[in-house]
Amino acid sequence: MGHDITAIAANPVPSAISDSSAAQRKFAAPDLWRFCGLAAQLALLMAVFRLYHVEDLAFQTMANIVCGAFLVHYWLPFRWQEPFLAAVSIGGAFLLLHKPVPELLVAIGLLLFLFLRLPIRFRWRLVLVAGVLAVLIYGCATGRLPIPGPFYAVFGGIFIFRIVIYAYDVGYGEEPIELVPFLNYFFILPNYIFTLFPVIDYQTMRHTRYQRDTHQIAQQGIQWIARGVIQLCLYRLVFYFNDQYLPDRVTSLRSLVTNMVLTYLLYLNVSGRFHIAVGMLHLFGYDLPETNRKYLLANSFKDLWRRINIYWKDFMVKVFYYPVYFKLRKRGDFQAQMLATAAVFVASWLLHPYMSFWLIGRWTFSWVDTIFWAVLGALVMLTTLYERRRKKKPRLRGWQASGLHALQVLGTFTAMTILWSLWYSPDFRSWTYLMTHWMGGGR
Amino acid sequence: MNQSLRRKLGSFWPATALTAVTLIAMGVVAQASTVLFKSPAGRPAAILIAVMRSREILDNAGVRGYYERLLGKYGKMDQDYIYDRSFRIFRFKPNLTWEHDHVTTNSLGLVGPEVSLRKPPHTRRLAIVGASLTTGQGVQYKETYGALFENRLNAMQPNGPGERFEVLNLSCISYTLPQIVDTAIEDAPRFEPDVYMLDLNELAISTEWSRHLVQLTQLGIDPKYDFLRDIVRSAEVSRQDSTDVMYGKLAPYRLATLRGELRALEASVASHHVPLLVLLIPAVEAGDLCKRRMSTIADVIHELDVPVIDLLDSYDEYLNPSVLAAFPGDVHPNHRGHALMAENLYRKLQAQPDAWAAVLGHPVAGARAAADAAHASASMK
Repeated sequence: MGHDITAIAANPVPSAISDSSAAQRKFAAPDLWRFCGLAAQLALLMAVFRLYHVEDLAFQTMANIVCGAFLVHYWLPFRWQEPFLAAVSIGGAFLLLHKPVPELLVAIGLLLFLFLRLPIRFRWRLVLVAGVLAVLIYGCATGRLPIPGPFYAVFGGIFIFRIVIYAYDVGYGEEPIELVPFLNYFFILPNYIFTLFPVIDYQTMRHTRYQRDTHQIAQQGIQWIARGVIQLCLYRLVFYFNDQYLPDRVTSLRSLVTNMVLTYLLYLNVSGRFHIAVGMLHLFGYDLPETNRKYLLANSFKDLWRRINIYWKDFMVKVFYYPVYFKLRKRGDFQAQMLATAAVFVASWLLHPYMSFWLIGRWTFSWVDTIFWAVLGALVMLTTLYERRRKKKPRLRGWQASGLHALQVLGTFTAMTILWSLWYSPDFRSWTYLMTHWMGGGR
Repeated sequence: MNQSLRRKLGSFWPATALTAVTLIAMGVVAQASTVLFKSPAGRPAAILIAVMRSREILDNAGVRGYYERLLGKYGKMDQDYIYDRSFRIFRFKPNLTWEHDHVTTNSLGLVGPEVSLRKPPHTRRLAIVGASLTTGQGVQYKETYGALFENRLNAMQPNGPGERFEVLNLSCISYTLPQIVDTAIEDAPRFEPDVYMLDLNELAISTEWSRHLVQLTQLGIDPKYDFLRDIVRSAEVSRQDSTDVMYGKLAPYRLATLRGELRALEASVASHHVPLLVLLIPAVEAGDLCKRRMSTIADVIHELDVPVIDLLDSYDEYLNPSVLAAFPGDVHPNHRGHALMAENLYRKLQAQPDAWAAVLGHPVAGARAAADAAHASASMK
């Protein structure tokens, strides 16, 4: 594959796997003993959720619904499984969200579905969808629509990015637009609680459903949920130890380094939630890929980009990288790669404030955001350039290779820690204060 | 594991066993922490486990990064306040009821039942100023530590049956220190208090300490006090800055601002010839988080020339103080938490003759005798 940024396809669909209904049916076949094994682990998970006070009561309710739904879904005939999950997910909205948020969510969701199914040219369908979003943006920004504030966060968490992917997939793909897959793609139970949600790819979700034995898929999901819980618990420890380092308390180099490392580790909160969310989808046969993979061990910025928030990277690659790359390829492969990569980071820079607008009602554009995304993009592009040149040189072997790898991991971690501390500062002056305050002994 | 057994089990059962063991181990660790907590050697480990189990510690966020902003919870109690363009920006509406508003205020806007503006005869008035912890967010007024302390004083009658005690609660939810201090300077004297008690807690001195200054700047309201004007000027905070940028610009001035506020209060109270007590009030958090946060202003507290009553150890017996929270995941104490604080306050005051003398209005030697008498009376009861 020529385009380096996508070198590790995060959504590999093994060629041997057929997505035909017959194969899926076979993989979905129940087995009493394995079911008992899964159910026992879910019971343990519920106990751990309670013991460790994972999230709030709404989360506990959602987890109960997910587990209850799994116990029924597992034994249902194959053709009833997806409609059942859609019904539980819609019903769950009414249990987990306050009126009239679920009613509005379902109504607007169905409106979007109807618009996308209209027998008119696709571009006009997109115009209608964009019109709905524009009206809601106006409502969210001004509060002049008769819509309660909490609706926008939930709607934003569910629709703003996935509708782009869905429209992209149904626009370029040949799959028919059907209601049940639409509902199962958007109305995902954990998404009502976790408005900050991995940007799941529609095609991947469809193609990976029962792509292997259901027990293995569910087992992996439970493992990921457990991993997510552990990460959320560790996040609390990180939060606890980082708490004492208010900027005016960073009075030594040691406290500065501690503050910066702990600030970077706060990302555990995001990766923990994402593991739980995707783990729960595994219980229903969706064999989705990992959302974050050992990102602290990345040995370059390009490697980091492939490991941290992988779904975001995939979203960017699909919607921005490929279109730009294929448009510019005639000018030269390398130039197209660089420009497409730049487009990805510009889009990431713009879409993060867009997400905060929906989730908390505020655009969060700032200079540090701009610097963060510009530097990160530049580092990824430089790594691409470096690796392209290095390919021509002989590779190191043995302890030299291991040593170099360790240094690369340490270097990436250090650089990312510095960059992250900048991103977490409200402005450049605050970051400079944080970086230099210790030099005067904290005076 | 030999080849045939591995084939028989496949990858499912080993993974199941590993996950189940992990989850069981997590349960065991959680349960074991209560045992560890009882031994001095096991205490640090128990506290770390308690922190991992605590949702409350995330309630008063210590960081304001991109994701923390997205995941933050933004509560509003707008309907309980009167907003104006005064220095304090907002204050409680009068006549709020617990049933309707989850806060009780009297016709003067003070937390609690009706009181007269003039001090009644044979009454010793204690004015407490503070924020949500003293208001008693999540508990009824009669369950707050202020009300319980008043009951305790009146039951013990340390000044004899001829004099009763009245605790006036001038606190307001969401106030930070400048607003609290301004309440003490502007409102409290009207009630002729004999003692001022300042609730100093981590919520006012930690990350959000500058919230009020940020709001003043955003609303274009004059910071009123010269030292605050100087700080806003030095920090170069302007209305054009975003909220987070303002927090960032003010961050270096935390200790200077706290010092200025406490000195302003000390000076004002001294001008009325009334004693001031500073109460260090704990929030409900695991891992001694409030002690850790308060330790960041230890120098400022030591500089104070008034008695400081440290109540931060009120929940020390609880490894997981979440059982004392008004709501799950909240840092405000419930009725049990307030009762522990009231008890601790009474005990600590008696143990500090200067503070106890201030409460009773006695000379220090007399207060010591009164404390002994009260202690003896309590023992007999």
